[in-house]
Amino acid sequence: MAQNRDSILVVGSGVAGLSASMSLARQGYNCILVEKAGSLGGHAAGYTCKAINGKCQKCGACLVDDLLARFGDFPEIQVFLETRIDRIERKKKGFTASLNGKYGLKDINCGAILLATGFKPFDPNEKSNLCFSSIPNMITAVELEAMLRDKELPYRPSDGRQPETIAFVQCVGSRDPKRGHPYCSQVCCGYALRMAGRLRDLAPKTKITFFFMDIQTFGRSFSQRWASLQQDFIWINEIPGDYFVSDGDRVGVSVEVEDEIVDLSFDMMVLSVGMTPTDDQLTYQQMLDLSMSSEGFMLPDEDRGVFVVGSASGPMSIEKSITDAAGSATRVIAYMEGAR
Amino acid sequence: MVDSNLQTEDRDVLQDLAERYGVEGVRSCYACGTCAAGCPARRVNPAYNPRKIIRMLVLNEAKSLLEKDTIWLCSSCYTCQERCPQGIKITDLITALRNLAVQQGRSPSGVGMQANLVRSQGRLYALDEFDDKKRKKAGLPSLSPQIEEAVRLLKEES
Amino acid sequence: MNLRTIDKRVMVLGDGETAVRLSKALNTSGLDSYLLWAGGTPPEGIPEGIAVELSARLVALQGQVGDFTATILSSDQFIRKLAGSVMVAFESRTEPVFDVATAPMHEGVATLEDAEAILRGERQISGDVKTVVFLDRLDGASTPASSERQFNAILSFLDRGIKCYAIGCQMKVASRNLELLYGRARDGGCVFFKNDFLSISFTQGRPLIRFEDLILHEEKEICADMVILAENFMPGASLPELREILGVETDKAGFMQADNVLRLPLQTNRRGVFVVGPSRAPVTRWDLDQEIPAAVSQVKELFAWAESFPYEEVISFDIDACARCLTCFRSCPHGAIHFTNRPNFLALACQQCGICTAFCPNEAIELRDMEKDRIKGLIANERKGSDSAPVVVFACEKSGARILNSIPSEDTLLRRIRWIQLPCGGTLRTQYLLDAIGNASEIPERVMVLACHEDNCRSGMGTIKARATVERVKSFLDSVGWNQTKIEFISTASNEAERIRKLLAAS
Repeated sequence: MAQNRDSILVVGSGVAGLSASMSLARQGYNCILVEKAGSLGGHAAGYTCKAINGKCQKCGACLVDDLLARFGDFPEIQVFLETRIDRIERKKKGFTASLNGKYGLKDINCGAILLATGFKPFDPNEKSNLCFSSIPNMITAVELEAMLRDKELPYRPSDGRQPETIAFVQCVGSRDPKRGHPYCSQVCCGYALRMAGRLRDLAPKTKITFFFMDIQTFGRSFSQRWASLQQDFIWINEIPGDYFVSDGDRVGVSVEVEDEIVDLSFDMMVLSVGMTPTDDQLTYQQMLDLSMSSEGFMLPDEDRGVFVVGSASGPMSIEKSITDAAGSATRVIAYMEGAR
Repeated sequence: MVDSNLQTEDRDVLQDLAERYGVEGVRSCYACGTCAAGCPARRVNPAYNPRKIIRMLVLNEAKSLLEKDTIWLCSSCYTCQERCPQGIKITDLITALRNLAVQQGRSPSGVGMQANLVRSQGRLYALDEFDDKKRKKAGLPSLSPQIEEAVRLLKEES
Repeated sequence: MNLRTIDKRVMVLGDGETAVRLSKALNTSGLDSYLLWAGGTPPEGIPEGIAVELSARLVALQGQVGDFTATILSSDQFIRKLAGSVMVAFESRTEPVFDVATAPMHEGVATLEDAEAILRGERQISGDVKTVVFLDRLDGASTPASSERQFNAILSFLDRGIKCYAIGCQMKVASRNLELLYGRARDGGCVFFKNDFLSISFTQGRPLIRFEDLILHEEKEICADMVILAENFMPGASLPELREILGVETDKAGFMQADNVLRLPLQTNRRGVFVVGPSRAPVTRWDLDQEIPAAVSQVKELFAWAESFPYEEVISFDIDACARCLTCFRSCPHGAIHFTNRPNFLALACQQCGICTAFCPNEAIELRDMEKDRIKGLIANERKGSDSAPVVVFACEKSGARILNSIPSEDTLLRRIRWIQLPCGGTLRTQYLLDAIGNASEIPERVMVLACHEDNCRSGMGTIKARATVERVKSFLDSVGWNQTKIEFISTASNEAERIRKLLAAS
């Protein structure tokens, strides 16, 4: 049945791209999955489990392994790894996309395009007062994810020692209209607090401080957990102004505490970086004549066969990407069936 | 009749700031504190706090703000303006507030004296022997107490 | 392979917008849907072709995906309906967030729902309202769904020239475009205060709110014409009964989806029973807009899967050993056992977790490849030729086994490990553990069970069951004084390879 239909091109194989292509394939549509990296899975494939004391914290990072395991049931999905899209041409019916990558150059025809190109973690170098590149023990939360996944424990880049005091700075690159990010990235409070919990579970003596504006509700049991989270960590409802190296290798900040500016220092600092549009976004916008949402991400053009799914359309958790992917599959099919 | 102690009448201050001085979006502050935490003037004098100044404006307390000397403590280094994620032009705002204060006849006495000096001599501070002694040591000519050009320009402007 | 005939009608249960939108979406995508409507009058906007059962209440659901039989009480009559899938789509209940609501409601205090009714023109405000204060919960645990409603109401009040203040603890903006909506409310003139404490009193008929502005550290008081309380979203009133009838898990608050990421996006522990929108969790408009089409995809995917499901028995059942004790029926987390005068195993509902086999006191049920004799053989065979006192590992296929599979076969770590993959921790039988220790020439140094973390088990309780089994065997071995084998339960996930490697290397 699937042979008679046009294929659907899915760009990006993170949580959204994988979910959407499997949903479409299960519903009888041919999918072509193009991924610029050398492996499937996107960002989430590099995240750590955040379970605490044998209890899942519902971050959803392991779901990507589930998706990849299920992906084996769909040999009919054509996968192009290490492949980019040079050009997309609109035809009377559908599109021709010129793929360029590991398998050489190839033109493929498709009836609809699903952009699941994901996000880019905010680059802290864009915010000069963080002095990110000159403070060795300041890392991003993405780096912490990888650290915990690959080494189980946190360590300081400067000397490999385990930090005893850690500070998380929230909203780095989020809620930042000046830099074109006028949105809450939705995921940072969740990942930061879950990782902080995990860190404390692994090394109970670790003292963890949070600099924050508003802590966002994440997960279903937030209201019960928030009370104990408030006890577990030190909470400072400010974002520091200056960041500097202190005592040789510690991370210092100046911050307002109880109406006075004080300097505090930590063994390590984690920047809870937000989600920003990918560097490819502009290319796709130009190729497909797409406009930008008020949050600065790609807007779809569903009436003309272009769909944007997952965090390519705006900040989104793994959980929401999965829902969004399933929802988009229905809209793509409606388009393919000519129902719209 | 009980009433709020929150002021409601001087919304026009924010309007003034926007229309006359181009300082917009003051209400969009979500009080993250980045401005205050990095303020060098605040380090020296804790009475100065840009976050509180913005908060007072949001709460329509411009009137009492203009009555206080704190707005005159800003060193105009622009650190806060540079860092504000909401893009509020905080330093410009402080300057605008000072202008408003002066129009209402409120400014620290030193500021008035300084303004008069600029107007009459074109200088920020009065010259004394010390300046010329130093210049002489460096082989520089002595200065004239009044900068004619500046005084003329200021006269033309007004 | 033998294709099944699948009933593709979808039964939607609901009492509001979600159910109506869902039925329509299903219908548009070519699926027959019919609506079990809680109310006595038909909902508006239901197109022809969608059958609606009024005043209807589900009282029983038997069968499996593609073949459910529903018993429905509709206007005092029992009726039977067939369906391929069931979707629960009730609206949520709301509850005002603030303690003042527990005191008799003052006329100057309204709930957000009241305020929305006023804005829609369905209710009149008494007197002249110039100042309104919105109160959100002060414990910091509000939700984006609740703040979205509040921001929208604020904008409408501001539009009418009414002065607005809002007091809450943490501003919840983590949803699509919600930060922008919050910004519009601020720019529009609403003043937001953050605090976790305030007092409210009534003076001359008007509410007076006192609190500290935490930035200025000054006492503020607002005398309002009206206080509007934000509301928490609570599970709909019909859910507690319905979950019993359907045999589905709920989360702690009572929403009808377990707090388990494996149920995402809209699944329950019972295959073919979906839960959508406010029955699932508090949702924003954007969430609901995604969930409705997602539900359509989910059910179509499931039907396609069911149609191609190979008709083969994975459960073997020894009727002579069965004591009809109903343990299997009660322990099955997926509603896959239909009990007549014996258990009947529903192939499409079964998720092959093996929990029934581990629970059955007479060992009358066997899951294919997990038969006790086979496992016994595996243990005995595997252990031949090991180079030192080995480690025997039982690993769930979703977590521990994925990690073990990712270790390259030449890795020296694997030399001492003999491992057996389980479809779920719940499959672990006491006998497997005893076999691992006793049924071989060489006594293992360690027996480890690597199952999923709690709440991350596909079968919900599988990992809890595995832990309990390990604990029981441990205490049994203690009681007989056996100390040559260390027996451990370790919960893990597929992305914890490093942690598990370290634990294994510690042998």
